[in-house]
Amino acid sequence: MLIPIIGALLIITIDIIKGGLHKTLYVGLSLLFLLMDFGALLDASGVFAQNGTVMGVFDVMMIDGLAILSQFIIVGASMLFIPLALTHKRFHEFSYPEFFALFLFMIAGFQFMVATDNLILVFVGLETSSLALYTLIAMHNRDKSFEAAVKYFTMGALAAGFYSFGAMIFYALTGSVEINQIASVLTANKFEDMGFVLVAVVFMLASFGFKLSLVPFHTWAPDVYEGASAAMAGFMSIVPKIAAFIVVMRLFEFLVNSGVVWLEIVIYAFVVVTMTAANIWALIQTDVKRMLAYSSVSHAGFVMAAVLIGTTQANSALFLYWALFTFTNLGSFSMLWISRQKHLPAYQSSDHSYDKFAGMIQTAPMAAVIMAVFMLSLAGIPPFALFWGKVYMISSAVNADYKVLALIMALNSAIAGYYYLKLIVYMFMREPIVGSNGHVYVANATLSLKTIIGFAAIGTIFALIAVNPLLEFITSFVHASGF
Amino acid sequence: MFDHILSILIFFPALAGLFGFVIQKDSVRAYGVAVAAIEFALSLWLWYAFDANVSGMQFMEFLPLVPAFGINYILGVDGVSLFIIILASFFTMIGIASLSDTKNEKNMIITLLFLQMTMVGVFAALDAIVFYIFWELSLVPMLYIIGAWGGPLRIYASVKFFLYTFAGSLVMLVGMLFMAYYFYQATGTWSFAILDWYRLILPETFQLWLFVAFFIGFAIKVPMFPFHTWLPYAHGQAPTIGSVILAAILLKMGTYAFIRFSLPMFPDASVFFMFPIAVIAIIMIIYTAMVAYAQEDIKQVVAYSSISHMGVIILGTFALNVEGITGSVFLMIAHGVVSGALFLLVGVIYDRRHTKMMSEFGGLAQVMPRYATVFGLMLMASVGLPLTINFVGEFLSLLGFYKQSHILTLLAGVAIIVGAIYMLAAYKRMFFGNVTNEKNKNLPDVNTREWLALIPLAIITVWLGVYPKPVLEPINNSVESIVQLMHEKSITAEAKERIPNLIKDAEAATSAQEAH
Amino acid sequence: MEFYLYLALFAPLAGSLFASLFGASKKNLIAGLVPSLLLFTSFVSSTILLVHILSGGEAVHVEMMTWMATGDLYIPFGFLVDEVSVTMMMVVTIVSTVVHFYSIGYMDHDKAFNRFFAWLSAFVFSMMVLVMSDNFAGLFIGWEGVGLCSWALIGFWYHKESATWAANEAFIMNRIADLGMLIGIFLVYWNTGTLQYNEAFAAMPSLETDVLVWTGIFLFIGAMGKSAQFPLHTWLADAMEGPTPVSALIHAATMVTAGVYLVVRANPLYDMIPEVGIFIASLGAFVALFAASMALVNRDMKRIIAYSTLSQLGYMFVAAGLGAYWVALFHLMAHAFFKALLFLGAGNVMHAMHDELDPFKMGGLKKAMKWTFIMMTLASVALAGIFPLAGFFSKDLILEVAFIEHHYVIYSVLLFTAGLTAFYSFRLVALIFHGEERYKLFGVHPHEAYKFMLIAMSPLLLLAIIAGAFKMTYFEMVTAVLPATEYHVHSAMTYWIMTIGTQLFVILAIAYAYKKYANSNVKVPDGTSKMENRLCYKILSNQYYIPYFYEEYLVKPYRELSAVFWKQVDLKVVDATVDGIANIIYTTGEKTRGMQSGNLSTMLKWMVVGTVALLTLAVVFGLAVRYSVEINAILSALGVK
Repeated sequence: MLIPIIGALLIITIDIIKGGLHKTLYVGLSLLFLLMDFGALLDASGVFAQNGTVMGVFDVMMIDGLAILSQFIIVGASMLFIPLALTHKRFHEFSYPEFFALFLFMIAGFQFMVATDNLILVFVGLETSSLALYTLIAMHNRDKSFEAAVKYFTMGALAAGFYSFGAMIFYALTGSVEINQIASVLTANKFEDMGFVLVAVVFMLASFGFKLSLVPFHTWAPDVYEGASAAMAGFMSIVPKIAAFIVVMRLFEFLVNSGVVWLEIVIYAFVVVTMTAANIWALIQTDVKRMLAYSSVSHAGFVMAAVLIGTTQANSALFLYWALFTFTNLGSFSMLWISRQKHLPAYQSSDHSYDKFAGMIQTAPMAAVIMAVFMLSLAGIPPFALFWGKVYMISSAVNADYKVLALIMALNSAIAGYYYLKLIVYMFMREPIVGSNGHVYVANATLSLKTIIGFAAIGTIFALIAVNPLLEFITSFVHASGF
Repeated sequence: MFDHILSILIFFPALAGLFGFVIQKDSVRAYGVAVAAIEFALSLWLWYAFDANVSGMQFMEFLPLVPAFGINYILGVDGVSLFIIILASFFTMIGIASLSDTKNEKNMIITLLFLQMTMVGVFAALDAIVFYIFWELSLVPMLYIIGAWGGPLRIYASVKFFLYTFAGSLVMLVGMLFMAYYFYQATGTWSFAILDWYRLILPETFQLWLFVAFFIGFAIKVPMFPFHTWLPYAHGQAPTIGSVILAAILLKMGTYAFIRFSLPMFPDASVFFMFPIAVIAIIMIIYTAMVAYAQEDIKQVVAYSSISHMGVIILGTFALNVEGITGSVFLMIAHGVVSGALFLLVGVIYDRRHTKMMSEFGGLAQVMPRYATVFGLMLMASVGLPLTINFVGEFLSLLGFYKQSHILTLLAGVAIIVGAIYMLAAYKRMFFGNVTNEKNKNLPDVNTREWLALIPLAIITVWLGVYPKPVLEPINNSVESIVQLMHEKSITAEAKERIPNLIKDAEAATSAQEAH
Repeated sequence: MEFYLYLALFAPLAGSLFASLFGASKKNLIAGLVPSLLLFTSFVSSTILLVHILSGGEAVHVEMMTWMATGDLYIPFGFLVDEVSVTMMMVVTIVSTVVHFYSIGYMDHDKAFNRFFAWLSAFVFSMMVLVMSDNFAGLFIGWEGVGLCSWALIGFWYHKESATWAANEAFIMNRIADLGMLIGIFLVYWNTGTLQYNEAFAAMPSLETDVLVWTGIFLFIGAMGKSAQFPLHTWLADAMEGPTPVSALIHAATMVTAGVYLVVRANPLYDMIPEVGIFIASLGAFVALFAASMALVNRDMKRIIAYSTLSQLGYMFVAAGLGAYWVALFHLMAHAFFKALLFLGAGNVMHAMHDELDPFKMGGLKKAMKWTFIMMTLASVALAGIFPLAGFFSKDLILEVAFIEHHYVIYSVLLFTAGLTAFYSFRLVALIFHGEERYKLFGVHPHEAYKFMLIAMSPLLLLAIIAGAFKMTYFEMVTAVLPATEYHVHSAMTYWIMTIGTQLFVILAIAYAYKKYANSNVKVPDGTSKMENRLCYKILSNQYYIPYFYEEYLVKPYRELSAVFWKQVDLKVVDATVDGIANIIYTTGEKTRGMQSGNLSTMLKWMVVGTVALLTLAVVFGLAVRYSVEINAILSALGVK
């Protein structure tokens, strides 16, 4: 966990000693540190596999299955993200070393967030990461990105306020900031102050609703995604959310399981509304990036169901889903990223309007096919990655006897099918717009970007080989950490 | 090698398709034909190696995919699926061979090869999830074929086709997950293997719900009234080859799934829903036949006619006795051949005149006598004339259902009348009378490439009409085992009484013979 | 014997295939000659089989191969040559051979000469299958096969709208009847477990009556279609659009008698259900009269003969319905000969008159075409049932049957019809051959047909004259399989009165016909004469307005309903619903997108709103839990459980 921090500091010092080095160095360094971090995680997982949950640093840190799994996703996703900085066109945020320093700080923040059940530490992690993230978005250095950063920041501030307030109430109720102790106290006194518990829960919901972009706390997502660089948007749709999910799982599941009916109902509502509404809004988007933004909102809602169901299968489904989602979503956002021109051509309303992709199959067949694969995967067409996540998640709903929920989830994927299909239709069935040539789609491509995309594509297509080991691994960990 | 014949059949076309990317544009057709021919030869070998006396699954393959969740790659064929697989490979072959010149032919042929993978996969899969994978995957190439080579409304048509079917099959997926869950509860192990599911006896209420869930998925695919409206658009817009494959193979997935899933897994529910479904089937038969009669576009006539025929297939399936189910399976093949041929024939005239409006034609029999002859043959087959392939299927289906209900069969039998009405009317409008339209004055008759596709079909149409035994026998054996299974599984008294017990009957028959 | 059986069966098929080789190429005499010769061989082998049967050899029964076998159902291609089928085979092969040779001349100038023979032989093949099959399914094959061929031959001149229309009408009407047939077959299968004649009929006595009744009814519905019984009769008259040899072969001699053959074949069944038999007989009698009445005023030579065919079929059904199967079959045979002869003669006349059909525009042709005149006259005499020609033995027998079975109504109807028959037949003869040579007005120069055509016709002429002589031998033969009831009027007295009475009545009718139409002041009707404006005349000449009724109240509504189903129901309801659902989803999106204004303060507002909403919910719920006791108390106080 400290590794990225050290890395960040190192990068800064290097920059102080000798400025103006090329970004490749920084990319290399951060990648190196992330690798080390990953190694450490592997080690930790080995330890966990042997002798269960480890508490450390005055018992505020907690390395349990969830922590490890989520960190795998966080670090993994980051490693996929970093090379995207090596673009063809020069986007100068990547030329600042600070970018990478902040990035590593952010990773560290997330890791702290997931690796504890101490609400304060969670808060610290949350803030570290968020503040870093705001800056990173702003560094994209376009009016839209500043706007996005400001919006994100303001709302984030509000969310943070909610969070601290909720935490405070919990402390007031139970005299502890440790989730498991809160749980034990509350169960001990049989939720006698139900009212206050709920108030606290509400504030928690609000703040995490923001982080997870649950409707109606999602409003920032489309604008921020649009403002941020495509790659960053893809990153944001994955890493912060998984971190938040961990906390939500830790905090809410015991409440749901200990029969707080109200919460169950509310989360149920959140799941359904988020899935459906986001889908419906995604239908009407004219810009692919915004569409993807809404789609990832709806995916978040879909996965939120796991928190509601709260069985081991559901929780493992969450990780499985998110791991697979990482590949697909990062892949599709990077596809936008490589097709990113510095200046808008005349016939384009926005950076990634649908008609930009019209007739792509004729101008850039390979890219079109890959993009199509990502879309199909997002739509949940077998045998591509997300299908397995969906199946496992729906099945967990079925097994927990949430019949209606299962049906709603299924039908939502049908609605979602439409807007993913829309892009495919544009790419494969429309005639290319005059003046656009294949180069548009790879304007920004470099070897490293292509590698990442290839990696994501392979991960998406051949997911079914990975599913079984992944599933066994995840399930064992989740089970071992008592969720 | 031939232990994995099925896997080869499934993945050979796909691999070939991948290699197809590197083939040079002009020679890709030859490549495609070669690949399809090899595939067809393999499928014929499958038939040759297939033991007609074994009623169960053959050429089984097993490969764990997600054992943790009971998902395995299981393949196998029995008499029911065998011939549809052969049909699929056959139609891909002649489809590619007779492909009229299309823009970016290369993509088309590669797409067709991928489509073939999914088709064979669906009929060979014995694991629900694997089945589902191919089932869904088959939508994608068809979407592309319709959407990229179709008519003016192609995008609307293709998207409608995709989403409609996709939505239906998602409900079916939930049903599958429930089924797996019940299986898990009953046995404590996860399994999506269909053969395992066969062994599971569910209480009737569960059966009813699951039956409905599966039904939605299948009914949209078949398509059954009132879920049929995507089909006319799909056919109307699709290029010839698309319609051919769609009508010949893809529609059969639905009816096949009824026999593979619904009947053996939910015998009581099948009996419970028999009459409602029969009524739907009759609506399909008569209503769509009348709609077909009202069409002005010959292709739409054929499209609606295939809905009408699917009605007969459904009816035969839900006769729930050997005669009916065998008939329906045979009719699947028959309808595949005949409607496929009809769509090809429509394609022939479309290539010449670039219109499908019947009012544009008239008196073609004078200009294109050979064309008229083949069309007439296929028309008579579609009308269900004895000694053509369709008759055997229709006769058996209706015969089978007559056991269940007299009056409904009488209504369904109207098929042979209304079928004749719209088909003859269409034929009259297109081929009889004098050549009024100048453009038709000197149309070339059927050319070699088209004969290539039409002659084999004509031969099959007559051959299997006169001598259906080689096909009918394997089907019969497999169906008998299915029916017996249903009888043993069924729990309600009505089901026991509706679904014949073959073993008892057999004993009765033997004793009767001894008595004589 | 089997060899001859197969020869008889497949020679026509070979001929058909041979001719179809030349299908698309231009006229070729070979394409006509070879099928005709093949048919002759078929005829020869049929004769050999007949001899074999006559010489007391037992029925030839072969099973070629399996057709369908599934479950308990087993249907082979099995063929049976017994006394009944051999009779039919003889009729079919004789008439068709004659017609084939005749057609070589008749179709001489037709460019589709080859196609004609392909279809004609195909028809004979189907007919042979129909009569020789040993099970209902095989019968059905032939049944549909002849339907197909008749479709193709009625619509042979497919450029004529009327021809193709008539063809489709014939096919579809037969299809309606075939449905009944099919249901009958299903009934037979599910009740007897087999479709083989012998086994099925063996099993039938053990079945309860109503099943048998239904089976009988449905099978008879099938028969009604093919034999054009009321109300499915309209197609036969329209079928005259086809070339005349076709009318002779298909719509007079063979196909239309298939219905009679079916009833005869199923005699064990119909013996068990006399009530149905009565119905058949009454319907037959009705049709006999009904058709004859329409023939009285008709002005189309071929249609007149067609109606007389219809009426004769009525006679046959009377016999069959009353259980006199052998009589029915005998009349079938005799009728086949003279009716075919009549048609072929009409064909000659048509040729001579350049396809003119209206006898009023002919007259006095006996000079120009002597032989045709003789043949048609003799045929008409036979048809009228004058001693000693064929018609006398067969037709008067039916009258006797009706009399002896004490169905006096039927008897009198038939008797009256016999008179009508004689009248219209000779009305025709008179109009064509006697009186003024009205054709001169139209500037045609009639000529006698080719010699070989006339020679080809001669066998029919011979048979039409002498067929009656075979009555007893025939009786001996067929009664081996058919119920052998001799029909004799008990007192010789009554017998002679009846016979002579009938003869006189008929002769009077003929005389009247001659008096009315053979004289020189017959004019070509122009719709002005008093007779033509009589109501009864209008009704008859419009065929009781039945075709009109069908067109108006069946065909039109069907067409309109179809259009409604497509335009209104399918597009506007079923499909619209589907798209509607999609649109609803989409529009909700459009409507609610306002939430995403991009304005920061609105976003914050939404967050707060959400939170507050949750809070209120939470507080309410919390309070509810906190004060649950009190709340319950209050509620219970209010009497709420």
